[in-house]
Amino acid sequence: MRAEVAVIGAGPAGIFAARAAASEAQVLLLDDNIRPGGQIWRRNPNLPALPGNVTLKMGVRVLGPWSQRSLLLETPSGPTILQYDRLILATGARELFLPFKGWTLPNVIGAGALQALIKEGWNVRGKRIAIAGTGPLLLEVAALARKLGGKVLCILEQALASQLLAFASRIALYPGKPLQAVRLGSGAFPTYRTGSFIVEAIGNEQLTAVACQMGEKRVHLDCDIAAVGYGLVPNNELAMLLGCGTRRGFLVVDDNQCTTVNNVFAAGEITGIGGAEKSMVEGEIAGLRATGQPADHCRRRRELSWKFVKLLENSFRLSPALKDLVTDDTVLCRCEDVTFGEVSKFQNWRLAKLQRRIGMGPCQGRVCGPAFSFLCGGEPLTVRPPVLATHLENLIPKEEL
Amino acid sequence: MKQILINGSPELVEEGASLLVVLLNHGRSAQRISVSGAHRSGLCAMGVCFECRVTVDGKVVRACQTGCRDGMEVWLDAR
Repeated sequence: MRAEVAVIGAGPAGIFAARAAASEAQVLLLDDNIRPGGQIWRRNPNLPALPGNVTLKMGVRVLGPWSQRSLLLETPSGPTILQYDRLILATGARELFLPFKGWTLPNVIGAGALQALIKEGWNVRGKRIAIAGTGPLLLEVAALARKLGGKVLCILEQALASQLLAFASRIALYPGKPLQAVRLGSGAFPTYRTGSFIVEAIGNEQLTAVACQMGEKRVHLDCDIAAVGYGLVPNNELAMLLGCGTRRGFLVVDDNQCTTVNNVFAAGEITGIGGAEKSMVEGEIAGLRATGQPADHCRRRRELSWKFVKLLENSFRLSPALKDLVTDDTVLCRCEDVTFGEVSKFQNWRLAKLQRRIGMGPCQGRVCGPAFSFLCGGEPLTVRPPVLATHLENLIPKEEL
Repeated sequence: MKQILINGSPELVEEGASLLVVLLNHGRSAQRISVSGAHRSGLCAMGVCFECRVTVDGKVVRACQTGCRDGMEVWLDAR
């Protein structure tokens, strides 16, 4: 397979990158999901149209760099090699999951996960739902669950009211966002608590209740679903394997969205968490600059979206109190069922991994790695190919046989 | 509507529906048993955590990134 411009990830950033690049190049747009749109546009029937010279392929996973300017892909019809001239990474972000007692029970899921599942058709009518974590996403998830008949019992935001006041007073500076905030905030009012979190998920084979810390009070709530998300972490694994520079996990890019590696661009949540507007404008810039087109008309929107990144970061900084939710017998690595007590003494990811198999299961530390970093600190995690756990046969592309 | 088999029992589903959502809507709130014997279900719903892995037509896949196809055979026995 060959592409002048290959775009990895068909969310807002990838779609806008592909559209922008398409006026000057043949574009291949790849994504590992069933349908395009990424998370925010999941199942959205009105996606921005793709021009004729963009080829979209779904269900395709990038396993890693193959050789100079080529990638090894896992496709529905087997492994293959993709050669590209220019590469645009728009791999997005995943949720940060922080372990607490009982968090491995079925029906304890991410906040973004609940949003994704409802968009895909999960029937939550009449279900009692506790939502916890941090960020504006919690309000969006609550609004969606309510709209479809879910009973949202509480929305527990870990940030303090004082942090959120600053957020609320400054959000008026961003076009489109104030109305969005009012719409989400008013519906949430009776159940929204700041400085609060779920301390325990209770149940035998699945969730039946949660214990919540709401300010000074400890509250027990019977419920069917707990949706908990502590923000987002960038999906930087492919970028790291390509040798792209990162800062605190996020891709370092210049004004043209070019990474520290020539001909590799990055756009969207992998450069900083800022939502769909930032992803769209960064995608557009990446697509334009990867094909030698001017992008000056996008600069102002990009600057504004970066102010929003900083505002989000400052307003929803994680409380150190969240470190106390984990106990020695709490599972930290869900793939290998390694408890926090088994690894906390190492204070170093690599040692913990070598001694206790943490991060060595199918998710390759995507869930427990960021949690370990939050709880224990330590150096950034290293990445090795393949990017994702895969079947052995996928490591030998047909071209090589 | 299309028919798929879940642990041998036939279920009618929408073509292309997320397999994880189909399992949840059919009361399969756990999709696998962990290495220490605990019930587990998809955590992230976006292909990252691998907790919703199931066996489809003999291959281990992530249910959240699998669209339902007519005649698909699903077993909740993935390791």
